Amino acid sequence: MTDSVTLIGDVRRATGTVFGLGVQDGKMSVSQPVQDMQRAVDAELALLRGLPAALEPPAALSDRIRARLAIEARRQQRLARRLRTLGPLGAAAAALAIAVFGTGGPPVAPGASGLLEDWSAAIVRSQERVRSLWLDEGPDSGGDWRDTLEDFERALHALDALGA
Amino acid sequence: MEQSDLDALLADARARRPAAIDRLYRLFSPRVYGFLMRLLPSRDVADDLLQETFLRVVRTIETYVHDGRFEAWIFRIAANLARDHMRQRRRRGFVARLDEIDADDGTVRDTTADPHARSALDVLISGEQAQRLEREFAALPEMDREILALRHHAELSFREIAELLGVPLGTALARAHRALGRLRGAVRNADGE
Repeated sequence: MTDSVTLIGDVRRATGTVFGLGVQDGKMSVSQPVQDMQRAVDAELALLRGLPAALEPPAALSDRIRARLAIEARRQQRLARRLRTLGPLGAAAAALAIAVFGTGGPPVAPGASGLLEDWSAAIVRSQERVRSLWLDEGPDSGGDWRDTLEDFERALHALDALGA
Repeated sequence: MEQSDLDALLADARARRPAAIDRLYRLFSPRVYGFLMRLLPSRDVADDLLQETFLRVVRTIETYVHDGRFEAWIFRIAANLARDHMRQRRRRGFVARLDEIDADDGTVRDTTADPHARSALDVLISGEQAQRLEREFAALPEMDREILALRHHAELSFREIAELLGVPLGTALARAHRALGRLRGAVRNADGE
């Protein structure tokens, strides 16, 4: 199939392979799959060259964001230092909490009760995950999953202190 | 930027060195901002999501597995934020008119109150043809705009776009093709006027 083909749709085989359905020289054709369709569509994308792909943010906006990013970078550095004091298990548990919620601590703010509920739910989910991780590793790791949870909760307190 | 320079910059950014984070912002913000302005209905929202995109970069950069596609990773964050915003906006009471529903797949064209809604970029684009193209782009169904913007601005592969949007690859390609045909027709009509 060449770039000049007119694509009119796609056909999915039972195997999952996707073929392009097109018209070439007035005849229906089924393309070699996706690579050809991608080439054809990419050629058509030249139409969008008239639209700017990049746009410099206004200086005032960038100044504000860069200041905010600097604060966040320093906050994350403090968090990393704090995590290093928690030991590997606590740090892993805290990292898990961060991964679940995506921040270094609960988003405490006036009127943010909804967010705090999200945070609490995230903690519960994380605790469950820690427990299930421990159960997966249980026979070899020894100890009790509640010990793991204690480490985890210490990590959360540390995060609370940073997030508040 | 040389790959080795980017590697060094990312290592510094992982350590959350403010200078490295600042450099990442200066390097990537123009294209991310262009992308957000293309997709979102207002400049204020694009401004907010630009900040949120880079805050998430700072918070989660250690989860990025360096595969030479750092830019794609940032654009995925921006695209997900834009999608979340549009979803919330619809939930908050955006009501579609019948003529805004795509006859083929039932998706809603996000045209706000104006069926030829002006995107945040409208005011910045000069040239009649470009303005026409811009207006037609803004009037495309939301998913078509996303697909084209993710390819044009973010330079994600169609496979990455399909994964991000949760649609089959063939669907992403066919929608891009159809949308581009519509844009081409609009520009051609404008030339003939």
